[in-house]
Amino acid sequence: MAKRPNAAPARSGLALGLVLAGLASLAGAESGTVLKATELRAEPQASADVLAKLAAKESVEITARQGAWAGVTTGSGQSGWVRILNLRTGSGEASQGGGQALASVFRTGSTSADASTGVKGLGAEDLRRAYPNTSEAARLTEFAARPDDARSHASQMGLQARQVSYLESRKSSRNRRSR
Amino acid sequence: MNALKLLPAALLALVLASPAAAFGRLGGDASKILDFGKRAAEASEEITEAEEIELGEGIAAQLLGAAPLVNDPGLQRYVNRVGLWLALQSERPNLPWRFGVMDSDDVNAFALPGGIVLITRGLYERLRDESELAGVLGHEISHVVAKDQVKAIKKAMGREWTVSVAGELTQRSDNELTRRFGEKAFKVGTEVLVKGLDKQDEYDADLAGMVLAARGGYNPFGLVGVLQTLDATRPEDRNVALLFSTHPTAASRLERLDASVGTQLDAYADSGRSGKLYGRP
Repeated sequence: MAKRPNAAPARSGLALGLVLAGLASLAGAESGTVLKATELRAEPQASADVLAKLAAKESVEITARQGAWAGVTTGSGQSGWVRILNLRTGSGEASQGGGQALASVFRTGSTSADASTGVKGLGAEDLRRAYPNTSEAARLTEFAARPDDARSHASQMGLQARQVSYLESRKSSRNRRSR
Repeated sequence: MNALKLLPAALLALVLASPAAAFGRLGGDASKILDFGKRAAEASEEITEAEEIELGEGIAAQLLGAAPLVNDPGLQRYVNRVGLWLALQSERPNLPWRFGVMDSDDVNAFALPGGIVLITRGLYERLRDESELAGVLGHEISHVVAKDQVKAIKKAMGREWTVSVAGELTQRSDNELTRRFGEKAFKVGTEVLVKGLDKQDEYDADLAGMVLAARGGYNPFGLVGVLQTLDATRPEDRNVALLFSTHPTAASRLERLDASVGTQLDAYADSGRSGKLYGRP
């Protein structure tokens, strides 16, 4: 039951390798940066074996996401898991992947017959200049769910409500290392 | 005594009848009258839940005037089911919660007073699975629960807020009046969305949003995936311009979450199935 973030199938030639690479990029293979020094672990568990130490600002490739953990491959090609909250994906520079939208899967256009179609910007000026569309706002009520609809969806998805307390907001972790 | 009480009402009627007031742009005289009306009523500055809902509906109309709902009832109903399930786990389960996906390439989500939450198609298309949708909706629901937008609107309107509320309290039966007073608040409400909330409100909504997702049985780290998607988006991409200008950086949000969450939500991380989003192959 060992979980390998990048469990690659046996190599069967260059063609397959290229296909896999293509799939990886379609899925949005992301480059990440370690926020603070941490351990690379063999499994997505705090108790798992430590495979390596990762320094802050070290670059990794994110290959999987599982709960509190991300499967990563380090620059030296080592694979393992790090805590997902310890990764950022942008560097302030142009980045590749991660933020790419999938091809639009919805038709564009309004549910109102009288609204014009086309790409609608939502910048500050677009919002300020907009003329209120009360009939479209009224449609929100039309699509609203009843509590039973919501519960039935949750049940279909195998979701169970749980008691979880709110957490205290902190500005930095106690064991933060200065870098 | 009776005449004094009637005076503001009579003056208001005059104002309402005048063309200058037709679009809610009340001049100086009107403001004075309203102020007088306010003092006469000695109104409380707090708005009722019904008024909060009305305020949200007015701002929603403004937003949907900029971009309508995506023409896909199945999508709209789906987002409402996920959203209401999360809202039912919040401290305001009985609001008339309404969720919608706006037809825009822009990447953003908006929480409006009274329980309206709108997310854009551009953001929806960037989500990986339902736990990420739960993360976004949990964040926005938390803003509604904390009444962050109401507080920001009140702060931005200052004295006018009191006047506006007083106007509604003294003339509750006059729909026309309510609509006109509301319009000012709606514009300010839109301006709050354009200018953004306090950074701390956003950090708090991230944290509370993760907790709400966990309460709903979702992997609470879905929101982390969304923040990483935003972090990977080039700042010069015009579709994120408004979101980036109204929120702390995604990297700082991740760091704050890391500091606050630590391992406290690990126990809930693996329970949820990674649900497929509506409309995905």
